[in-house]
Amino acid sequence: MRLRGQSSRVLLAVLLAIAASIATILAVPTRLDYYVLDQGDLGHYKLGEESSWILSTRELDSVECKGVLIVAAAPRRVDPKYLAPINRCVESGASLVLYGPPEFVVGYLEDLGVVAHYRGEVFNPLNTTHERVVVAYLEGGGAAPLYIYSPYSISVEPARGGVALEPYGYAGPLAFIDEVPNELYDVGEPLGALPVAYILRLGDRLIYVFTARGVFTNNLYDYNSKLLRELASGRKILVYQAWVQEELALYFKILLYTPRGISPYYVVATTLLSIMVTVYVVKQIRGG
Amino acid sequence: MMTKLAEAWLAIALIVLLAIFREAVAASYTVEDCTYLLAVLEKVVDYALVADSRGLELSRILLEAPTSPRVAQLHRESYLAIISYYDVLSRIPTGGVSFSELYLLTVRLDAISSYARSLQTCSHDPESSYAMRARVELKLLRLKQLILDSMKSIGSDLLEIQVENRVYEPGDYIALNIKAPNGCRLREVSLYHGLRLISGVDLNCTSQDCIAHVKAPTADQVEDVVKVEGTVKFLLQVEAACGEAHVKAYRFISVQYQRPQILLDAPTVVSRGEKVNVAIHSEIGGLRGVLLAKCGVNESVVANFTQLDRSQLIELEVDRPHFTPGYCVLKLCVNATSKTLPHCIERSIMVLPRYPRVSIIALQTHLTATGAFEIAVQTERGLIVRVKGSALAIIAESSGVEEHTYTIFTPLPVVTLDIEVSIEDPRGWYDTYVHEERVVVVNALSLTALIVAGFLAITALRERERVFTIILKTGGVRVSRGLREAVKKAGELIVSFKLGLGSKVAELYYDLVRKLGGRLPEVHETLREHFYVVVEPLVKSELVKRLMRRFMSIVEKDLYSPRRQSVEEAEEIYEGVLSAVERSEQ
Repeated sequence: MRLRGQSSRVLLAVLLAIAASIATILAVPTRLDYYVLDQGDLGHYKLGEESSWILSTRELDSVECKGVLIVAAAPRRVDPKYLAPINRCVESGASLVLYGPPEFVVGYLEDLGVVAHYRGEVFNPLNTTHERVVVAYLEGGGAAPLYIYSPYSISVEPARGGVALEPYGYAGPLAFIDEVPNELYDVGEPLGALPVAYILRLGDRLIYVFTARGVFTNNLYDYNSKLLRELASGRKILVYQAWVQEELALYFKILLYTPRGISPYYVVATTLLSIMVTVYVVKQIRGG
Repeated sequence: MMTKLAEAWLAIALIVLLAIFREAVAASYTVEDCTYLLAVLEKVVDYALVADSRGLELSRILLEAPTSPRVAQLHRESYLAIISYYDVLSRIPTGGVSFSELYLLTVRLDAISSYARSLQTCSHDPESSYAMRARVELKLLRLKQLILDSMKSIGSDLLEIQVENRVYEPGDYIALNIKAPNGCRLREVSLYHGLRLISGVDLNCTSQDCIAHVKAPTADQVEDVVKVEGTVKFLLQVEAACGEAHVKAYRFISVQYQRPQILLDAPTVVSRGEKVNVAIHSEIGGLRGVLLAKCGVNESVVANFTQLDRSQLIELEVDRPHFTPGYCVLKLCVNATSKTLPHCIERSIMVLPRYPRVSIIALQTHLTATGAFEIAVQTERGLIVRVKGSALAIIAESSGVEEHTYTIFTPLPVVTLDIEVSIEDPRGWYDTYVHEERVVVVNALSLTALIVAGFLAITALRERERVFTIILKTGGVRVSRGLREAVKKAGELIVSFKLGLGSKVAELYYDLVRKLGGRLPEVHETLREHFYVVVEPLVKSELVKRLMRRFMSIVEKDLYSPRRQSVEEAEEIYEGVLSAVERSEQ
């Protein structure tokens, strides 16, 4: 397997290119909300460290759904093809936690047969600990409050086909919907205990819907992790990340990682494979 | 059905979770949205009207909510009043509430009305908030009526008091017809405002039926408690001794108080030293009071009245010490009488200065041989004339009692001089007159000398350019190095002083200001000036502005108060601002 000088240089160049590509991808900043490698406020880095990742639609099909709680959140409306496996898993007994921006949550609810409309941002000046972090309380949620980031309100149309959203948590007793978007209360805007968490019951399966941009995101994970464990009640927690496939670079990056950091086996195996393939190709060319 | 269930659950959950909310409220930011506070107030009053316990719980939460300083006091008083209302409400069924307690509650509830008005004023949409404020006041009336109804049932079963239900004038006699049961002896009638006793009358009735007369408090009697005109409710208390027990019964007495109608008429522009006629008209005669003049910060009495006619003319000499040139205010204050409350009215006048007759003779351009020229100032005797010029002008007074002549000399070849002529009156009769003149002076002698010297210098330096350049360069380098070091040292001193002498909170603040793209404070700038000039225009978001304002006040406290502020809080705001800015950029 001795190579000529020129071929060696080609091989070296190819390997360097591969290493550079991997290094570049690893070094690329991961600013994508709800992405398990994002360490920003709305990232899922902390959640990702304590749960398993679902990186492809097929991966979920092979999971024993009865024993899992899926956490699904995305920064925008997601193609239904990425959500269909979740629905199948929920039908098979999984529970689901849903939150994110209105376009994602309202869109997902529509896919589930619930017609909902975005009404406006929810503010509770009396019950805000940090900017846009509102203390909410859950029905039967014990004395521990739920911290939600940037909540909003939705209106839900009457149930069709037996699918109905039940209010489950409220953003304090004196919250208001900022229907005129100026971050101030305007006369006539709804004021009171506004629902920001709902339960959707599909038989004995539960879908927890939070109308907030942040719940188990990095900025609030430490506050709400206890609640997540309560919702999971011993089941395995899966973070659904298959939608990241729409962002190729970030998807490749996620493939190189495990929940606890970069996988050295994966990198070594990939590099060895690359070397073998390259050597074989070069040899073939030489022989030809 | 679902909504009712949710409401019922909410009522229970509120009580259980009060502790959590109190904690959250304690950590929350100042609530500055007045419209929101008004809406919340209406909601709480709604709950109070139907005795819903949610009103009490919310009041306790709101009591601890930090609000803007301009409404903080009323905010607190209002929610304390509502909490008292609930407290009284809970004790009424057991009979553990006294009449005076209820009466005091009606007085305390007035704070809510003032609070609602303040909130409407500071609302970002006062017009729309008006309806909300009006609704709150109507509901408040209903709330008061509920209390009044409760009062009727207290103490009325033993003593019967008949009093004409009308609004009395101050000083009117109020006729009372009191009936006491057998074995009771009527003792006295007292009149209260709040908890303060205004007057008391002993009853000398021999029978169980008694007719008594109580005088409605005069305006001068209550001037320290009745601050605004209108109807004031007093509490009438009738006391009787029934064996060893003392029985009390109560009624409300309404008395109408008014301010006197007075008018002050004076010219709007007067010159100092002039005598002007000030006309005072009043609806009623015999008022006592004072006329004050306020110029700048000094306020002084210019006239005293012991008996003011209905129409009176006062001759005022607009002069020192009461009046100084500029914007002044004439203030007429009349004391309370038996019928009217004390009252003050104001009128603005502009006092013009009084100047002496002056004539200044000076040319705009002086072409001189030696750089000397003259200006002449003619004015009245006994006045002090001073002439000042730019730094390079030498001024000499050459004559003068009425006509002063000044010789001004400048050695410069061509120069523009600013000459200031001021005329002062040591007697104070005239105000100091100042005149400024800009003149161009050409000094032919020094101009010629300069040209000659220039010519000689050029001749002398010819062939010696290299030496000259080296001298210039080495000298320049030394000077600039020295200057740089001096500036650097001074800069370090100033920066460490301005940036807080090791305050971690201040360091964070300035770091944040830098990140927002702002500069650090100049030497002459205070922290607040820097905030309003530099920081506030940098950010567009109201939330970020509020955060930065809060941050600035923490820094201020950390720097200038004996107590160190929490670095954790500063770090939280720091992070909060950064993330808010980042989001707004996205």
